Amino acid sequence: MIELKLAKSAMEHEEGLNHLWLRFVDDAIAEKTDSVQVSFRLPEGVLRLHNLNGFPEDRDGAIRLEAPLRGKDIVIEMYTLDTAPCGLWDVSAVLEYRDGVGALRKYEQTIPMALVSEGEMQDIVVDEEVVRRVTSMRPSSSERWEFVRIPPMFLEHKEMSSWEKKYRIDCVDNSKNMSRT
Amino acid sequence: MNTYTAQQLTELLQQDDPEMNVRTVRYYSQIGIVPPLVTVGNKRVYSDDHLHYFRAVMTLSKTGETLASIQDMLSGLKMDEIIRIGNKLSMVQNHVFLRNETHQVNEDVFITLSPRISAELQEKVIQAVSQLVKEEKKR
Repeated sequence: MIELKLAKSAMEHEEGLNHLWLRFVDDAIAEKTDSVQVSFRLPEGVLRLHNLNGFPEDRDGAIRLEAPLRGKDIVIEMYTLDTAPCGLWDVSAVLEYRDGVGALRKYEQTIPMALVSEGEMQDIVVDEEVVRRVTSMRPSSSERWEFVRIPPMFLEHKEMSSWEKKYRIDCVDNSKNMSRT
Repeated sequence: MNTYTAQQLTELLQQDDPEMNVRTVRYYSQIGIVPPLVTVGNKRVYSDDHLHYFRAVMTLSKTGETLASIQDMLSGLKMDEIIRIGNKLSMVQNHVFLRNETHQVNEDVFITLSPRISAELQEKVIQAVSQLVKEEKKR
């Protein structure tokens, strides 16, 4: 269905950079659907840029591709900033699509990737095929932005300010204040 | 020979382009965009040659070339040619490119002038260079 490859078998857990290449190798999904949504799950501390192909991404970073899918690919650039936990972690590609009867199907494939210290990068394996693909991509002139998850903030009001008391229509004090103005 | 760590080389390159970062420096070395690190003692380090290569790569990247075509362009070039490409980095920085005006004297000669140069002086520079080119052609 798909093939996942990494440019480097390992990346630095701090200030590291790597590329993931996803390729649709057959039409197993395309035979069942008109489009597929692709999203990626990365290890803790690993961030990514907008896909290098320039495909639009929704606010959750999901990419929608239309059939035919065979031969299409997605390349993403992953990086670490501050120290991410060292170890062998999984990078996942999750495909969601509706089959011929409209049922939502999900397919997930993973590839292991090691996060190591800079000193352990001597013996990494570089996949030249992935490197050729990455280096052949023209710098996108479209917007590229860092994909940053901002958790929602919930503010709890325990006390109302004097202005809130004055102007909120459900506030008991409101009628007194209104009459003064 | 000057040698640098990845961090030191990045700080030098950031003087030319603040967007350069240490992870890109390391990555370009790992995937062969620039030559392999040199071994000094028991450490693998960057040298002045790497500095020149990176500056040349950064210059050509600004023109929209792919990394693969940049690798092809730089392979086989002598170091002085690579240095010459890197020296053009300031000219292709967006803010410089947009700010300055470039005049074409002929197909071989271009003059780039900052708007800080007065119009009168700009005219004199263009006329002087044009005259030199004409005289050269007459020979």
